[in-house]
Amino acid sequence: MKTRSLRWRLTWVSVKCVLVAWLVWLGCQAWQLSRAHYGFWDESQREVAAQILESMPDGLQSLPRRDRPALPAGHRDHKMSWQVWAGGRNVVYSVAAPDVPLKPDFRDGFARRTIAGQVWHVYSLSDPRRGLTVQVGRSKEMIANEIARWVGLSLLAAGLIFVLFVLTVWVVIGRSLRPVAALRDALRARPPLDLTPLQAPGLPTEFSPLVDAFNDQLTRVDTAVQNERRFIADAAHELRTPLAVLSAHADLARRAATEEERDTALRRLSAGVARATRLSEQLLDLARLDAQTLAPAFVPLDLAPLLVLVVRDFETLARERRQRICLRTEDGHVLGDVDLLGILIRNLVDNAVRYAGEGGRIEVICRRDVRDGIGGIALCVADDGPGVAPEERERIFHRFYRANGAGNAGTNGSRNSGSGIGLSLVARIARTHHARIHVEDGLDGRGLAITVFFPAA
Amino acid sequence: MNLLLVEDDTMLAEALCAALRAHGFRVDTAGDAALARTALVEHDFDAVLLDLGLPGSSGLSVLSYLRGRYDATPVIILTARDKLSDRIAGLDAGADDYIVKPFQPDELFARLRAVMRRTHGRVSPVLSYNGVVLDPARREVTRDGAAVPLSSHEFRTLLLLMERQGRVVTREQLEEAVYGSSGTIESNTIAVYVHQLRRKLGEQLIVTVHGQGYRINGGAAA
Repeated sequence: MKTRSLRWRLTWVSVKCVLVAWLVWLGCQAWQLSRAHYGFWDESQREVAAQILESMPDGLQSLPRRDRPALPAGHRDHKMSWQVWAGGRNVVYSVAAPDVPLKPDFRDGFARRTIAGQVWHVYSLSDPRRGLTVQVGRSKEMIANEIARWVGLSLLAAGLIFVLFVLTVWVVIGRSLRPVAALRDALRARPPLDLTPLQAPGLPTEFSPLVDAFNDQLTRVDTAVQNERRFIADAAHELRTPLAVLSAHADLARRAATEEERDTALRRLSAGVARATRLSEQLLDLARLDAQTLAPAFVPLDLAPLLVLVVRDFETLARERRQRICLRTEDGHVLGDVDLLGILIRNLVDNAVRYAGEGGRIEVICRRDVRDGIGGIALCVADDGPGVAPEERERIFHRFYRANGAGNAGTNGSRNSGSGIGLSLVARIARTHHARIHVEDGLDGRGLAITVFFPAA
Repeated sequence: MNLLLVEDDTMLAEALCAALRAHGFRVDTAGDAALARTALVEHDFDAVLLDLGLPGSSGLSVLSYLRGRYDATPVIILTARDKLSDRIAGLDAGADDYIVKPFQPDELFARLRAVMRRTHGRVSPVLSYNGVVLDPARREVTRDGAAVPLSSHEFRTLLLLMERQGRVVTREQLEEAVYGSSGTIESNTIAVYVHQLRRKLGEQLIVTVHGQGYRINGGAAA
């Protein structure tokens, strides 16, 4: 009976409601009918007796004895049988009244008697002045018949109500759901990536939360799709420049007249490859992040071994630049996604190594800390490079934003290879982990320190 | 120095071979996992450079095949899979290092040298002390018969300490053994690994010698 159709549910529920209402009504009726002396049965019996007594003419005693009329078989009293006794004779009686007195003691009032194997409920009323006694009785069979009639009638009424109700339900639901069907057809007719909100005129208000939620979801998907499109456009655009640089240097190397010229060109080619490599890595990270932030797999993990793995990757680069990296891990137990945190750490360290400059110093620290009164784990990467002006510090986390003149190789050599993606990745991953980012001065009062603070869960 | 390069991209394989030969290595190549297994059975190599994305089966199957045969030949994974979880899985499966493509050839040579230094002259017999048993070839550690899972860095820390039982091993020596470090990066991670090892294998196993380093005291109880 687990049907999901609204119509069937309503029909089923209305069956139950009508049934319960009918049973309750029947119960009330039964109680009303059967109350002794004041109930409907007794009342009607008393009334009938009084009316018969009223309407009997005088001189009944002197009526001649007569035989019972010979009625065709099957004639009987349906609701009540009655007798009028005068001078010890049953002078007037209903068709199927017994010959014996219903109440042989002839005392006024109600009684229960057994006559010819049948239980009777009898009432006797007498007029001593005229010497008349009226006796009215109902046999159990009559009562049963009466009840059956009542039940039958009420069932018929309940059935009628039910049929009416169900008809109404089917018609109303059918009418109300017509806009839903229209909506379905409209959805089917849509092109695959049409993400405009649904319009649903005439839809019952009960459906509007559903449509609203669906429209919300459409909007989110629309945002995601637009992000994706923007990403592809950005990526294609961002990759062009380093590839153009590669092609230029390769060309220079081929045409070089002297050994020295070729050497320079080849060195620049290598540097260009490194830059394109890093950019493609970050674009990949970005794409992965777009996919993964929808369903990150958070597990309890220790940042310390991740830091070791990632920081070691920068060993060669740091050695080339005569930089020193100091890694201190005290406590790094956080809840997070290994791969996303890997991207976060890599980009933080990459940023520091790139910006610290020749002979610079980088500190990577991971420890328990308290920020704004909340305990948690602080992952801090600090360098002693030129740093970032306080008013610029928020913007460095925006995608494709480069700190002062970073895009211009001429003015600031140490900053020429930033893509403007790394820190935007850091910001997004931090947000996914409900971590906060603090940007402060770096080492020895200079440089930049970026702290990602993971509040304890 | 004999190397096996397992790489299915012929352009990259050729370029790497040329670069490695120019650095004085002798290089054999295998283009898929089956060829790699055959080569590993037939020849002895000083190190294996292993691509993970091979046609047919993963490079990890070659690695587990090698370690399953109690072969401790150093393996460096060269792969385009740059997710940190892939990397941890590769190292824990018994790789000695993990380099993500694209990489600078210099980076590869540096890692190769570090791995060689680390594994050179390694004793392959099983090492044991006080119920802790370390099998270098299978990269397994047991304590009183029960296997104890260790990360690759913890394993290397323990390996050096076990190899030099009774002698003090300095932090620098441990860093050298664990990372092949050149001193560009200074860290307290060795202390972290020692802490982890004590937690997993018992507080008494590794003794801190203040101002000098660490020691597994082989003299008294072994």
